[in-house]
Amino acid sequence: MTTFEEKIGRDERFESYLQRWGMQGDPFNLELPSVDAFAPFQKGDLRKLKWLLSEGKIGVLTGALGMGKTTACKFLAASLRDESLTAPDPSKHVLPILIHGATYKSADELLRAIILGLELDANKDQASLFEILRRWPHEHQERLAVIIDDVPESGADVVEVSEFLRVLSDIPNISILLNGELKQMRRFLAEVPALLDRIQVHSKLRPMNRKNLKELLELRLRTAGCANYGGLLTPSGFKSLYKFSKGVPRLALKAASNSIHHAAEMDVPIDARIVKAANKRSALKRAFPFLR
Amino acid sequence: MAELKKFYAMKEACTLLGVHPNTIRRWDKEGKIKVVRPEGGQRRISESEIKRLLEKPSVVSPPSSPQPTFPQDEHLSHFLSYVFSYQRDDWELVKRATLIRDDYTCSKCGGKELLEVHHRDGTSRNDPDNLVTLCQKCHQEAHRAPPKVQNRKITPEVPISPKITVPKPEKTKKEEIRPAPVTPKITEAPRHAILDALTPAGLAQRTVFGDLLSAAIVLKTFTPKDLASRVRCPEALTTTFCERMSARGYLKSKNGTFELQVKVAR
Repeated sequence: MTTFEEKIGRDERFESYLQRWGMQGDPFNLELPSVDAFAPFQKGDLRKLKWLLSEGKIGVLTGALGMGKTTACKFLAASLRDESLTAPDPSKHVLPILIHGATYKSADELLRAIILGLELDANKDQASLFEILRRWPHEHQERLAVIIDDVPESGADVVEVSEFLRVLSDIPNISILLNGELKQMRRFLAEVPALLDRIQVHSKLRPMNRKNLKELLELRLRTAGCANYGGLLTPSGFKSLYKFSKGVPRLALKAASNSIHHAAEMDVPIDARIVKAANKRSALKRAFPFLR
Repeated sequence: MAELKKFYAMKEACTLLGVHPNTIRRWDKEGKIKVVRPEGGQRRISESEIKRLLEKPSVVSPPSSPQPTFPQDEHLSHFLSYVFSYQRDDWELVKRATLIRDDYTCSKCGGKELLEVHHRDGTSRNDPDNLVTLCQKCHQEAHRAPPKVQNRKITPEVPISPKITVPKPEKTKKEEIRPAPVTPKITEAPRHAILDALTPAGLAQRTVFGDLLSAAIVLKTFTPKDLASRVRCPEALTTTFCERMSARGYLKSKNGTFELQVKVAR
């Protein structure tokens, strides 16, 4: 049997396994920017951030790697857009603009990205583009929410960009949410105290505790259509998933996805043995777990 | 057992064909030869395939053709075939090999001093057929002449090429003339101008229209439902988008499915 045939067989087995448990696709998919991707305990944080964005304030969202910062940003952008479509009053509309930090290399490009996000003509000089934003509260009723993902990862000059953000934050009706890894963000903000002073909300995503992670995984299984989720994900399996991921959602979901594939191969529910076999680490990593 | 075909590993096939393993890999990529990959994923080349290649060397295996040009001395020809099949990029080595092959004599005047190696076709292709030993004088002459030779070489092709190029503009002209009275077939407009033409109610709708437009550019032909599922927005909005787009002539509808008729200018 060739490797290709083997792979097809594996896919078929996985599909039939999922159907037996009443599901359609992989329940632990990382790319799921809808409300279903978030457990109820996470929604409090989201509500806080949404309030921040609709009030014209400037905030910072930090957290370690894989804590779901980018997912939260994507979700916020999608939900704000949906809300502004349904609400009839334009003064309550919030226009989200999601920009990835690595896409701009200077403050000028960031400005152009914002204008392009508004679907306006960006083929003008810098001053007239900035004039659009400066006159925003006078000419438009809608609020503007600029969400910048992974700010410190940008190759742009830090002082230039943050000076631009500071000026932008002084304009009413424009709110900014900066998102970045905790240490990088601290270093980024330390260089410009003027921007740091203006930040009103600083929220940090922490690793989940055991209860919350269980809630999240079960929610994923339930939304995928699995009724008997307690039977599929056994307590021992969950325990070793938690131990493996240490409460980091991305790691937990990835490990769970790996183990559901492995469980389909073995045709058994997910237990500790399956999780361990599916997420084998190399000897070096087992000896030095702090190595990335 | 008789049915079992004989398969050669890469190394054996290379020695049989007299080519570099990378050449076989390239032929495999280009689909010139059939290669079997049993378990383990390594290439195995069947005996019949190698026979086929050896029978007509000019078609597939260019490196095997230079062999006749080499002198009969066994060691020398071995050295030359090695240099020309594996070490072509090493100019010093290729130059020395060519000099040895031509016995350190100019192939034009027979001189034995101030020898240089010349590329016949003017490119830097280090084929044994393409390289000749010339003395400095003959080399300079050869380089003065080639532009004429190259021009002559190109000129016989020239009458062919205008034949191809001439009808093309005629065709495009015809295409331009025909649809012009009805509707321009594929117009080009900047993104914001298209969105302005759609007259969205409010900026929120405008941004959603922008998302729909970029989804439409990706899909090219689509139904409103496709767009709605791709952009994750209410379907009523996509239908108004499609209606307004087709009213401006940017979309062509064909029993339920739409086709994009506009090109977004950069």
